Amino acid sequence: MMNKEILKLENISKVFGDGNTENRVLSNISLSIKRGEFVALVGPSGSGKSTLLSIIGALLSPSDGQLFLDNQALHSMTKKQQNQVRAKNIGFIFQASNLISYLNVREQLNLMVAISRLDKEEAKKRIDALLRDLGLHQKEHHYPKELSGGEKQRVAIARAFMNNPSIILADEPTASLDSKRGRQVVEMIATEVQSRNKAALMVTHDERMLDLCDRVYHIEDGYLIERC
Amino acid sequence: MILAWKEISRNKVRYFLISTIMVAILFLVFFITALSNGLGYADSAAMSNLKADYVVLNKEANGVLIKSGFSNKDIQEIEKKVEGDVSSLNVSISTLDRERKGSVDVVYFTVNKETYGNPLIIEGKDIEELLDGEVIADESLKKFGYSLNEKVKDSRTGKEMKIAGFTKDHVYSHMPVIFADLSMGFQSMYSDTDIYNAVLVKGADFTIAGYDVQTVQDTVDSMPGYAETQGSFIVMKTFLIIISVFVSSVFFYIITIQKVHQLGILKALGATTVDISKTILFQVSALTLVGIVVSAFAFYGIVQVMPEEMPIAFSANRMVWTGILFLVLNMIGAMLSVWKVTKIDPLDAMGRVE
Repeated sequence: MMNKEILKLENISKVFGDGNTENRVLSNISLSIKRGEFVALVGPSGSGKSTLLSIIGALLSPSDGQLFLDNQALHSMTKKQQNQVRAKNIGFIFQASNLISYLNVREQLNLMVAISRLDKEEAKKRIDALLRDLGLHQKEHHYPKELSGGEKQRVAIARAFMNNPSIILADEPTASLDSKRGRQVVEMIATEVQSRNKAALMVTHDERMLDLCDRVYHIEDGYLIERC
Repeated sequence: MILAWKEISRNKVRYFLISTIMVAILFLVFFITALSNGLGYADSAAMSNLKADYVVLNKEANGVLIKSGFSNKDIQEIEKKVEGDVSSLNVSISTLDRERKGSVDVVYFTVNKETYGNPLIIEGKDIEELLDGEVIADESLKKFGYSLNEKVKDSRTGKEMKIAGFTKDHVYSHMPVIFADLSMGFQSMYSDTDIYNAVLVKGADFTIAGYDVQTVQDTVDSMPGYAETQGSFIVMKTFLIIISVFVSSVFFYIITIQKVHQLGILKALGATTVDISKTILFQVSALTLVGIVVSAFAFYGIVQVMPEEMPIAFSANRMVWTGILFLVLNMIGAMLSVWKVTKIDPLDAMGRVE
């Protein structure tokens, strides 16, 4: 099980626009991520890293190529099926924590019970475990405006793990944090990924975080290079 | 649902304001409905409650009862051609006089006491049991200080009569109705000979050559001014409801636009358009219901303290239907927001699109 491939991309390309103003953002990207791996994707802005993350996250469809998550072919799915996959198999951590302003910490996590149609008993246990692991158990009744930036991002991490996803996708999770708190957040993602045996892909431009990752891909002008 | 409820409770001011608008407008709708009911009642209750299935009028009247006129000969001719119970009807406006107590305008409905049938009697005798010189009056006459078995005098003819019974819901043009038998002779109050406005018939539908036959409801609708009054109220009610539905629909649409980013996040997390739409529909229906209930209670309270002279008729049935109509229209208006939700792209959650 340890070496099972969770995510596999084969020759993924993405082209925006029509014939006249064709803009090729991604060219023939192939990569794979195994269970327990924490992979970073770095590149300058405009390099296509967010587009790639959107495609992996079933938010965008590729123009060409094949994409498998848990052996399901994402590239040929309808919007509705993609929705299902996001609800069941993917955990998102966004650039800003993107919490719902009128829900407290516990309710933010409980929301995923409804969205991902989780078992309530099991979800309650998972909420308790995540709040403890991420040091949020004393803040569970706090609302987002009462939390610091780092705490908000920790809630977002907990939320990403709620649906017991196959893969965690993080879009610049440290962008709104100072480097010390940013590093703490990335460490937490790394710890959770390892202890729960998940796969994770993090888009970042912060090179100081890369030592926490197992592998690093570099993307530039739509081409992918692996750096070791 | 929890999402919908939490959002309302964490944004109390915002949702309180929209609820207040709904309460105010619904209150006005209820008020106007009751006013149109009340005015309709005061205008025509006696006409609506005529003990008849059909009304025979002459052709020249064009359906308007008080414009129609029959002589005794006409009445005999009609009675010969019609099966079932037949009573002639004369409607005459006059005044009751009492010493030192001022006068009251009343309407005499002169009918044949043997064949007219019995209107609902709340006190005293039935029409059939009337002796010479006795009449039945509407209970609204009591407000002017008249009571059962009291002798009253008609100021125009000088005739004396005794109120032998009280009926209810018999007012015409805001005046109490007095039922009198033909023997009182009020059918010749304004002319030398007997004149009747109509012939009332109980029985199945029929036609008579040379005469108009119409239902009681048609007779009410063609009362001068009745359709115009009711029509104006319907226009007012319709516009109030349209304005209110428009305000609340636009409010929810703007709230939805403000939440596009947040709803995008929910979609990215896997929430479906249906999930999100349910939340919006729950909020719209909850706020509308609150608006209906609060305004209904407010209206009920106001009715209790209003002067009795106000022509307000409170109809729970109509309020319920108005409420249901309002709820349904608001749900249809909420489709504008639902349509917006279907357009939201979960990619918005990524914060930027390349």
